Amino acid sequence: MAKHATTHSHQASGGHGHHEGHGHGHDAHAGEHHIVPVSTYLAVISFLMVLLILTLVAAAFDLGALNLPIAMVIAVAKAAAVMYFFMHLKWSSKLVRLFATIAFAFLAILFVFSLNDYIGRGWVGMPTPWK
Amino acid sequence: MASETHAAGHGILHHHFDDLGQQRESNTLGMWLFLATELMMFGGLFLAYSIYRWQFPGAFHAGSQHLNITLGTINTFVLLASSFTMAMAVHSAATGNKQKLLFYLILTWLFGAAFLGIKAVEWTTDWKEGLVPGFHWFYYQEPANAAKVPELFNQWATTPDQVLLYFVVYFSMTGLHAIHMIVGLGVVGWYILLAARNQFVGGNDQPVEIVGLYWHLIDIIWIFLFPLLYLVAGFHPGGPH
Repeated sequence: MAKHATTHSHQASGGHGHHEGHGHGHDAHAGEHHIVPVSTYLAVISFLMVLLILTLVAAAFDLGALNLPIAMVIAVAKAAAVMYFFMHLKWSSKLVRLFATIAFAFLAILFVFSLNDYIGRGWVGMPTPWK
Repeated sequence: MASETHAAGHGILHHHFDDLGQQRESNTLGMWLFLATELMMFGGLFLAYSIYRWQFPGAFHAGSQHLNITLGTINTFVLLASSFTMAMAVHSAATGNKQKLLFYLILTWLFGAAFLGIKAVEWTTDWKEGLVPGFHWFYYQEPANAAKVPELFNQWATTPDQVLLYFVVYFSMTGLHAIHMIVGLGVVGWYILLAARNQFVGGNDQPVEIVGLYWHLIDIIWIFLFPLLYLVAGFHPGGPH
């Protein structure tokens, strides 16, 4: 590894910018192998189970228009915990994080532009053949 | 720690990479790129769901009443647990513990199989009740259920044809998800055999991590499917099925 150290020296300097403060030095090398402690995984699965119960509790109350947003906020929190810890984004390089983010950015584009048309067309008096 | 891994893993470094760190980074990046395309594919279905639910909200409320929320909850629990055991399998591979790796991979496989088994029970019930669009759709024509049609109009402002649309979306989304589960079971099953043959020792643990990424994505898809398909009309213990 030593003879190739120069290959990643630029990533090494970039990696220090988002230091998590744990002092492991895990982001010193973009591709370095970080072993996540079991306690972290136990905490995450506990969090996920609490959120699953919260999903059911929230669904047991009829909050009208808030039902769907609340369910989605809890689902996003679950998904974020899975991605950040189980899928190791917390310890991944900036490039990997960027790829993960871009996937959702394109999903957002798909949703915003499509629903903009479906929901908004009636507002401006344009013909809506599907109504 | 890292230098040991690298020293032990000279045989697993492919010739087109400078070192194992670069190889590891490239593998992770490639898998995330694949997962991004997976999100695009499922995203199309989620968009279809959104448009139809916006157009026919009552159909989604009425349709979700046909699903078994208890089984859906158990399946969510099973899949979350399988993500945990998969994360533990990745940890066991990284720490070079073959016994634990085998244990957690087998546990993950069993959770995945349990999920599909429960899903099969649900789909069989749908089939028997005549709730499968295009193949076995007669629920609202049954004399015993015909009385529910006026209720559909009055309570949910919908029609059997619109409820059929909900079930098209339901089977498309859970079906594509189940196909991914079957692929996941195949790969994890294959990895159990490889792990038993000492494939993931000596620093070659990353393939397990890559498969883990796929498994977790399937879990994430279900995390959204559960509230969107099962809990549309709320969760009422002992309520109507």
